[in-house]
Amino acid sequence: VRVTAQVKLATEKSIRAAARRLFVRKGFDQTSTREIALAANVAVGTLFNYFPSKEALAIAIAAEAFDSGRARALRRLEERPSSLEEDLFTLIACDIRALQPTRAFIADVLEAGLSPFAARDLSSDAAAIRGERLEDAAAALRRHSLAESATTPVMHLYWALYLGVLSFWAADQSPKQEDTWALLDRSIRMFTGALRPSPQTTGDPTDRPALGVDSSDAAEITP
Amino acid sequence: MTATNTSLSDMLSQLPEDLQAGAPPEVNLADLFLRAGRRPVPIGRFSRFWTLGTLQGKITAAYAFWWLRGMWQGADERQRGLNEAHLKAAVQLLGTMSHLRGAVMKLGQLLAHWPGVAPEEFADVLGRLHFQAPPMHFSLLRETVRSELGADPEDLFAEFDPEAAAAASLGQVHRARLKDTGEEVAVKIQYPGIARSIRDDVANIKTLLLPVRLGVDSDSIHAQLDDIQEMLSLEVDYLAEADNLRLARKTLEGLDGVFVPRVHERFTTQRVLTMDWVEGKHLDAYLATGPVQAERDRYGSLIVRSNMRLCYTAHMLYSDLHPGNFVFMPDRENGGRLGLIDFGCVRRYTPEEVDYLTEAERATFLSRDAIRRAVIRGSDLTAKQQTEKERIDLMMAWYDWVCEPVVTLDEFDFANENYFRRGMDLWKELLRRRYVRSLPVNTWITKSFVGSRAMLFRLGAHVPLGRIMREETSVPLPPQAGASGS
Repeated sequence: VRVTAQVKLATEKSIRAAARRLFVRKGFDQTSTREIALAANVAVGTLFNYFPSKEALAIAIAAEAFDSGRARALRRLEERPSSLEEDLFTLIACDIRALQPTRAFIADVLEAGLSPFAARDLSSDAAAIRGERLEDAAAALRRHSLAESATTPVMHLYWALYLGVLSFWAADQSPKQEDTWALLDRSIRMFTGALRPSPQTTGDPTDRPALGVDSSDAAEITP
Repeated sequence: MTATNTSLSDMLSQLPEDLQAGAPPEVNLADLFLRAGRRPVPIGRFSRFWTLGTLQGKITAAYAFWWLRGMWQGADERQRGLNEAHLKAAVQLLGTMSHLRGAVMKLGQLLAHWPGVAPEEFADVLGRLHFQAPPMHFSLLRETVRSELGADPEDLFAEFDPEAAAAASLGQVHRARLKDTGEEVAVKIQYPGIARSIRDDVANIKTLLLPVRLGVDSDSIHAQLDDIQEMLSLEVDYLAEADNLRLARKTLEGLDGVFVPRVHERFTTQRVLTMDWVEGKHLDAYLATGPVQAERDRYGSLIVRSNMRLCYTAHMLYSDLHPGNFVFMPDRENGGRLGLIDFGCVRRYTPEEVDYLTEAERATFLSRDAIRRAVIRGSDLTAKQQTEKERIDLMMAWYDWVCEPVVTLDEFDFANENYFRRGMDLWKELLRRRYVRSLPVNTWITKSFVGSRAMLFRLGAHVPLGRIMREETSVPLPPQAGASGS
């Protein structure tokens, strides 16, 4: 049976829609590929023609959200010049906002496809999500004259920060998830603070900022 | 073990070990900072990163702790190296607070509110904090506004200034323009999560102080900490502040020369407060314009009268009385208006407290005995303490100082340095002798007194406070001078 491109697209769309509904309602773990196929009105084998695994399916769904979040962030970065802290904050905050509908199952997506531990066999979607985010962060560092800082360890650290904030957000019980924004702000300050050289000190060891103290803040306390 | 307990043990470990031994305080402090500066940030407890579990928070707590204890030590013991230690601490604390914002900053402000006690350098550094906190960037603001009001600030308002107009202790203020009426408004936005973190912090401080023997008045101090805790919880709730603003506006409606901004309900939640923009200068900037005496006197009278009307008519105590809350609004025709902008730290009197206040007010016009009774009631003294002559005399002297401007119908010269210093010395003496026991409400009244007297002193105003009081209070008072000071 020859399947037209149009039918293919419609089938894929209905599988995604069915999976999204079930993931949100039942959770990622509690949803089987059989149920998804049933809800999408396709055979299980057909589902696997489109998505090699349940994980890949979840990542594909999340990838749409990641894409729209990124597009929004890049638009914002163009609108107004801002500090490195704010640039990085914008990049991650826009992703979080866009991922809001997937919050119920995003933790599983992160674990299955994006975590540093899953990195040995990233799906193409996952590889793209990761690659784009690291590229955006590196671009932000370049914009703020920290191009030489975009080394492998630093970018790995950034990716750990990124995933850490997202996983915190996925489980954040605070009202309106306010703790996530505070955590994101603090984490980025810590990250950027570690990249920048320490501010001038007066030679008094008590003036030396601890690792991770934002240098712009620290500079203000120098009498 | 709860998170609170965990960070508490960290906090305790940060305290100078020989605090109890009574070694010279500057050694402890210097050592404390030295060790603190070399210690890495405890990133393990990520979620509580910027509460008192932090390094900087611990330093502040340690400092606050040391400072509190210092109040109960002999003056000679404390004097050595005091300035150096305090200045260091103040600088460190300033860095702490601009870095950590709200939670610890609030603690610092709390310390700043006892100006007679904290050394001058310390008070000076803290005093500048009200308007010099580093801003949250716009992206963080946008997410916060979006969480609270459902849309981005640039969509909610016709204009929204991404630069903060002022730092508030728990967040910051931005200038915006309404879409429908084009009016300018001030949007106060709270740093996300700060309210809950403050609750944790105060709980930590309380736990920290529990085992400490703060002299014989421990119970009273703990009661006051409860009160402070309650006050802080009010202050972080912008809906409560909006209520206070509305009541104050209504109460001061008929008072010429005073302006209280309207609340814009549509853009107000627990964490975002939108009100009319108040254009003008704060005290220092106003004084820098070299205002004539008559104008300063007029402003002084407005400060006194608005506070009395809030107190006597609405039973509101504007206890966070610092220059940042007053705006001197240019208005050539009427000689300027006074804007009242911050109603976060407002306390409402209970009926019992009103009764006590009434008794205390009348006492000064009745007799020394009446004053003695009021002082005893206000201080919640035990039977034994009531027989301590030195204690009663000192408290009555403080009472008399407070009432000096009350008993005369003439203008009182608040610029008189001798008068101001005398009051601060009395206050210090009260603290030094551990005579700090008082009804919780007195903490706030005293704060308000000290705040307003300091404000009038800096303003250099001559104010007929006694006459204004007779006009504003509902309590019948004799027209002539009373028993005080006799």
